[in-house]
Amino acid sequence: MAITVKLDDLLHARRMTLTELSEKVDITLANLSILKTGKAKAIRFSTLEAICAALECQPGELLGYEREP
Amino acid sequence: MNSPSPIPLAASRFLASAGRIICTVVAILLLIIAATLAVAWPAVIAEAVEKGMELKVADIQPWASLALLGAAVMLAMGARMFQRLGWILNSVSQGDPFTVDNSRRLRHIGWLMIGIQIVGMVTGWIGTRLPPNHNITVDFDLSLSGLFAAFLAFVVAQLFEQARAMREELDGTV
Repeated sequence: MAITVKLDDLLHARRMTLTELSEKVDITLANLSILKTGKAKAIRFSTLEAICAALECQPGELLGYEREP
Repeated sequence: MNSPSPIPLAASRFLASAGRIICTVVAILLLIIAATLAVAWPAVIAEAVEKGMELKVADIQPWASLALLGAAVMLAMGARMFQRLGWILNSVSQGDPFTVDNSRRLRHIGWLMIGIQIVGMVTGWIGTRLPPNHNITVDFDLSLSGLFAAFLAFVVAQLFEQARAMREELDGTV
C-alpha cells in the first residue's frame, strides 16, 4: 500500500514497546501489531488520536505516503 | 452489541430439523405409495370395483401416481430448504453468519421456493386429470406469497453479501 505506518520508528525513538503502547492507548496488542506491520486497511480517528496522545506526535509523523512504482 | 437470545435460535434450529425430517419421511412415504400404485393398480382397482365403486383403470392411472410423485418432489425440495436453513442457523449460533456460503444457501432456498411453485402447478394440472368424486383431490395454485418469499430470500442473500463485504472492510480497521 502507498500509505506507510511509521509506528516502529516512533516507538524506537520513544524507547517504548508495543505492549506498553497497547496498555497506554487501550487498543489490543493484536490490532496495534496489524497497524505496525502495515496490514491495516483503515485507521479510526479515535485510534489515531490515542496513539498521537501517547507518543506525543502529530498524525503526519505516524503516517507517510510513498508513491507506488 | 446486543447478542441475540439463544432461546429463539434454538427453537428455530429445532423447527428446521423437524421440518427437514418430516418432509423427508412424508416424501419417502408418498414415493412408496406412488410406486405401489403404479405397480399394483390392477389389484387396487379390482378391489375398489368389488366394493361397488365405479372405476376405470384409465381414469386413475398414471395420474394418481404422477400426482403423488409431484407431491413427493415438492416435499423433497422442502426438505432441502429446511436443511439449508438449518445450516444457516448453525452458522448464526457459531457467531459468523455473514459468509459467502450463507448467501449461496439463501439463493438456493429462493430457487427451491420457485421450484416448489412450478412443480406445484404441474401437480395441480395433473390433479385436474383425476376423475372427480373419488375422494381424491389435488389442488395447488400458483401462490403469490410463495413467490414473494422466494423474492425475499434473494434479497436477503444480497444483504448477506453486502454485510460480508462491509465486515471484511471493518476487519482491517484498527
